[in-house]
Amino acid sequence: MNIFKKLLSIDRTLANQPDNSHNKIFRHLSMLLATADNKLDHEILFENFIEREKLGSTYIGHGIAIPHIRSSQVNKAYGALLQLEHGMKFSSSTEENTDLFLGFIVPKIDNEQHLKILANLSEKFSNNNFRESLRSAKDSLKLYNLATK
Amino acid sequence: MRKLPERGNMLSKKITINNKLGLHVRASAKFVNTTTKYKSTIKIESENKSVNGKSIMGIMMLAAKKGTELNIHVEGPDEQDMLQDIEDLIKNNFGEKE
Repeated sequence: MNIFKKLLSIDRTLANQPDNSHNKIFRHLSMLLATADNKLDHEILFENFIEREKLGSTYIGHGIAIPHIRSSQVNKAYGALLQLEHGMKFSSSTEENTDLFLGFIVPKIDNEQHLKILANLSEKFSNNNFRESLRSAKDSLKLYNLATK
Repeated sequence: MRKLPERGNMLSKKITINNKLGLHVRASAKFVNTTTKYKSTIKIESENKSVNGKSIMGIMMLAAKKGTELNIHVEGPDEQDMLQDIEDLIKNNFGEKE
């Protein structure tokens, strides 16, 4: 199954945002993810994202970052996709800008699932045509459809 | 006379991942931060997959968990140092506690 179909919903996909700060990015991802399960609190998710990013950048190359949280509050994985209108400097270790963010939350105990999600996301994101198709989307529905195609 | 580029002989080594979380994002990023310091090329094989050891996405595609054996091939002018550095990183569990 397509990893984006598994992780995303149209409600958790947001295109063409003018954001340009880490806080705004994490705020968006937290709000989107919190809609997935009513046990999730967006303020806590926001803090979790900030803490995780302090440990090391979640930038994975080609303008893509995958901020993520391991949580004991969920028993399945959920994701949120955010596309920026313009890229921003997200990682200090590269000159490349980041404009696509796939944030996700994964059950803490299931490390194997976590690694499989990383592998599936990497397979998709390493494809240049796929990345460019996501960048061409001008609204959230189009972005969701292209990601889950 | 044109100088030929310096070449290595290609070194290969099997190293087993031993940290609890395997090759997750932070470990993969540390891997690439190490390999990109060197000129040599690095290819990693594991369970029928073969990836570029200078790409975070490439490394994560292996979904290598604790106990996975990586077959690492390095080739280039600084291949020996690169291989040693990578071996140290993996054996130190990427600086993780477990």
